[in-house]
Amino acid sequence: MSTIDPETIHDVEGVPVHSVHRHDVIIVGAGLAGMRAAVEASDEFDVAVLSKVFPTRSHSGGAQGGIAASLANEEEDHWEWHMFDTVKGSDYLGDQDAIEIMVKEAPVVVREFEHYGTPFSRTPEGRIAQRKFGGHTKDFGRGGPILRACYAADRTGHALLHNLYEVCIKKEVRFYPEFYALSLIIRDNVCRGLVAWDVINGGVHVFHAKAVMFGTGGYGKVFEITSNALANTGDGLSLVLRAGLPLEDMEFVQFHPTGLYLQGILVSEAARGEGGYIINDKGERFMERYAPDKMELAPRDLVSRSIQTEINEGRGIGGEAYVYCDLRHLGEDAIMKKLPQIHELAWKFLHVDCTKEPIPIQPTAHYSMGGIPTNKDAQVLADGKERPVEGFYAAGECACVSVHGGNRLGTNSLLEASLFGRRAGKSMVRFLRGTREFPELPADAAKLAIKEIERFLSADGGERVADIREDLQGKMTDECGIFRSAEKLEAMVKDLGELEKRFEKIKIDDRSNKFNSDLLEAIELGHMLEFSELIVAGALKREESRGAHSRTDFPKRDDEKWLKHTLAWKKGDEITFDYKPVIITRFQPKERTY
Amino acid sequence: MATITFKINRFNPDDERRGHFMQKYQVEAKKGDTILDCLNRIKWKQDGSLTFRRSCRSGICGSCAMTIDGVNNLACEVQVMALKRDTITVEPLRGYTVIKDLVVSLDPLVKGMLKVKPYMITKTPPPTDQERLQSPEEREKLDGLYECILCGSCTSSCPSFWADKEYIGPHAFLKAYRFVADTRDEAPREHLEPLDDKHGLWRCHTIFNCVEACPKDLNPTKAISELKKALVNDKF
Amino acid sequence: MRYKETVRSGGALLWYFQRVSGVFLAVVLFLHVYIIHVALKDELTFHAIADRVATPLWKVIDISFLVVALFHGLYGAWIVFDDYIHKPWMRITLFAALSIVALLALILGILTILPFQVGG
Ligand SMILES: Cc1cc2nc3c(=O)[nH]c(=O)nc-3n(C[C@H](O)[C@H](O)[C@H](O)COP(=O)(O)OP(=O)(O)OC[C@H]3O[C@@H](n4cnc5c(N)ncnc54)[C@H](O)[C@@H]3O)c2cc1C
Ligand code: FES
Repeated sequence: MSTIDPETIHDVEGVPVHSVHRHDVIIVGAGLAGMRAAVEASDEFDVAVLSKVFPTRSHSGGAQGGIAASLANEEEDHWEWHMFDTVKGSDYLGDQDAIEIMVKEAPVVVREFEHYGTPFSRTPEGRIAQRKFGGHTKDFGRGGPILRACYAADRTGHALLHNLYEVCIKKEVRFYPEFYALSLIIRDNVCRGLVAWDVINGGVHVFHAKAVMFGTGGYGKVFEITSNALANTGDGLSLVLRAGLPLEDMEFVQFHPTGLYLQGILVSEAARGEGGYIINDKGERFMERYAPDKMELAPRDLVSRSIQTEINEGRGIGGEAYVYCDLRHLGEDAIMKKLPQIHELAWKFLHVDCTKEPIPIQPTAHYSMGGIPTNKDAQVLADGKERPVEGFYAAGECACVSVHGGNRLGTNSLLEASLFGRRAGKSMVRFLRGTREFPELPADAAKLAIKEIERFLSADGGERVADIREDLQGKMTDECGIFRSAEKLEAMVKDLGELEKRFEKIKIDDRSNKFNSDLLEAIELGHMLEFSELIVAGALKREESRGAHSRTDFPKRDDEKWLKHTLAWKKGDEITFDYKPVIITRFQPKERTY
Repeated sequence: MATITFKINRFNPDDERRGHFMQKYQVEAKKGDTILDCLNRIKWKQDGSLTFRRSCRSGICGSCAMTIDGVNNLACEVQVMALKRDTITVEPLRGYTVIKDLVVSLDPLVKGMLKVKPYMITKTPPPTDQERLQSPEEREKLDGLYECILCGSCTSSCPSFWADKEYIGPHAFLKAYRFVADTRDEAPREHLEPLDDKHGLWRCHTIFNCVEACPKDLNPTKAISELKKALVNDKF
Repeated sequence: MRYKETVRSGGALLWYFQRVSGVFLAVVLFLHVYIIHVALKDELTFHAIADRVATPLWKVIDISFLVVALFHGLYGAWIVFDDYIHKPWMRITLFAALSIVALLALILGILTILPFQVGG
């Protein structure tokens, strides 16, 4: 454990000396990405993990279905097949060099988890069990669905997350639970640490580090119906924006087809993987009209759009905004054994017994493909293209390598988070081996963060944070949701402007320092408003339909103009764009049909 | 739609003189609303200072454990209408130090867990390019053990914990047994030994409160009795 | 494999012995009920009992009963104190009190059982 050096500490303005901490590595986020990186780097270096929720409360624990790897435990499989599926799933927007790394290393990463103790379900031979998942196929899409998703019943994320926490305890990783990152300290393209708020006791803390990594997760909370946790507000993204760095492909937001009606809580794709049907008001398995081959196991974007179309055309159940996911024909035994959590969720949140009744579902905002641009070693790119920021890394859902391109395949994101978390760890170790000194800490490092806190703690306008947030979520769902158009998006740009004006006049009820969640919700809303602008602006610019981004006014994919990644910066009120080419190695873009 | 009165046990750390006090809120609740939905509505529409932990809304993160009408449960999993009452009392989990309103300190939970070496211990290196084998039957032994979400409901309900704040706690025993029962763990004794302690297993008097309290229907008491057997067997 | 250090125990052996003694007491209780109320049903007299108590076998049984019952009961009481009494001086006092009670009861019991003779 490194000691605090008082000489560098006294010159951080406005922060008491005991609130300055020094570690070789500071990781923000204790999800799969963050903790996997911590496990990797902690053998050699002093690593601290900071998370706004207690580590095991991170949203990775909510993942149910599985983690993809071509282990071939159940049937023949090859990384090339996995790669093809991922590339096709991404609607050819994924960078194929990164995808190749991911699918090749996937078996190693999954087996490592097993060695750490993850309680995977097993095949009769005692190997890690695998199940089917949407978009994963045999033989370059020519065969049927393949058993590729490694799982622990339907609690895969929970099993992995708790396992990583255990390994972190074993390796004596230092945790700062319930610390909220407020700002990055980046000067002259060198990341020097960050500023955070101690949620429990209140108070601004400065973390001085040689390397900083972000694993801050997704931002589903900007939509009304979402499977994401209340904590998934995408803070990391706007912290990066505020540091003058770009974000990539923000317009690509995945909507999962099966969210519990109104709650948005996820009915795992495992429900369909195990053979569940989706039916409309007329009792039709309507997927046969949209994806006759793969039916319910077509990729998410396609199934979500199909459901939304059924609903829009009045074939929702009783004309309402939902359809049914029917598991009854699987039998009670199979449901209780393979899908116990789905049974529990449907029962607890809708009072529906899915062994006897179908489950009402609707599409729910689920995953953010875009994020902080990084290279294959998880280094954050200052220009979004090539030049890394020294000592700054990102992985997991907040990052964009980009392996998911326009649309992520199920079970590829637990893989991405752990795999690129691991790579980030390795890459930080390499960097630290060559770096002996801590970078200089500027005296005004905490200035902006302190100002932000002070501003909110004294806010006494007339607007409630929750009202603005609700409006934002509703509008984003209507105008920037599954189906988008120039007209809707332009309206959204205006709406965002108004919401931001209202945000300047918010009030706060709680003015205390200790566990002030009122304050945190205000800060989070600030973040959401900020990066939402990029989602909307990016979507407006991208005049095509690709993957999860679907424009009713441009229904076709346009490879000539749009086979490229969006990069966007925010400078003051201006959004500036740049684009970079997609890396294509093995698979040339083809029409994407299922 | 029904109007429900929530009586919430509050505590403001900046006003310790006032101590704990009950505050009433009225909420319009509809079918399908959980306690957490209602608490959120209070926080978002009436009183932003009301403080509680929450994240996943789906009973998997373990943030929102609290005492609802005297029973420890996850606020996000309790349907308001299922309680069939027009006044609902909500309190912080008992036995822990209250930080603010419904937020309690998790330190005893973590401390207890750290004592049992909560990680898999192996002595032989894992096979290269392959997983360790474990039959489905061996794996089945972990069912009911690995699903713990560390919400703290069990330990909060345990009279032995009320009496002894250093008590390792049912959540940690469950964790310990999760590794003792795992065929891949090669040092069950390392998890067992710390339990043979003044603040350990023998403090459990088989009261079964933890089983009652667990929102995930796990059975720490059973794990404890298995651990007791294992420890005694180990001595003879 | 066994523990090398057999003595250091956080209570495993005590806990185990508490269960064993419980079972023993239950058996003795059953024996007692059986002998008094079933076997001796018709001739339940002082003499019948005195004859039995005076035999060496019964003296052994009664003394072990005495020891085990004292252990079981007083250790049980100590568990309760252990849970709820945290002030060191109180704990010492209570422990001493329990030990004295145990010792006195043991001496008294042995003094009653050992010299017992029929008609003596
Ligand atoms: C319901 C659901 C089911 C899913 N199922 C699957 C599945 O079956 N297979 C699959 O592959 N993927 C699945 N996913 C997606 C997958 O779970 C996520 O993409 C992945 O877990 C993200 O991991 P992460 O480590 O990047 O972030 P997270 O696990 O979300 O962690 C983010 C971390 O950042 C911290 N943090 C954020 N902001 C701050 C801040 N300002 N200060 C301090 N800390 C901060 C949080 O506290 C948290 O610890 C699912 C997602 C959901 C929502
Ligand atoms: S909010 Fe996660 S368990 Fe209730």
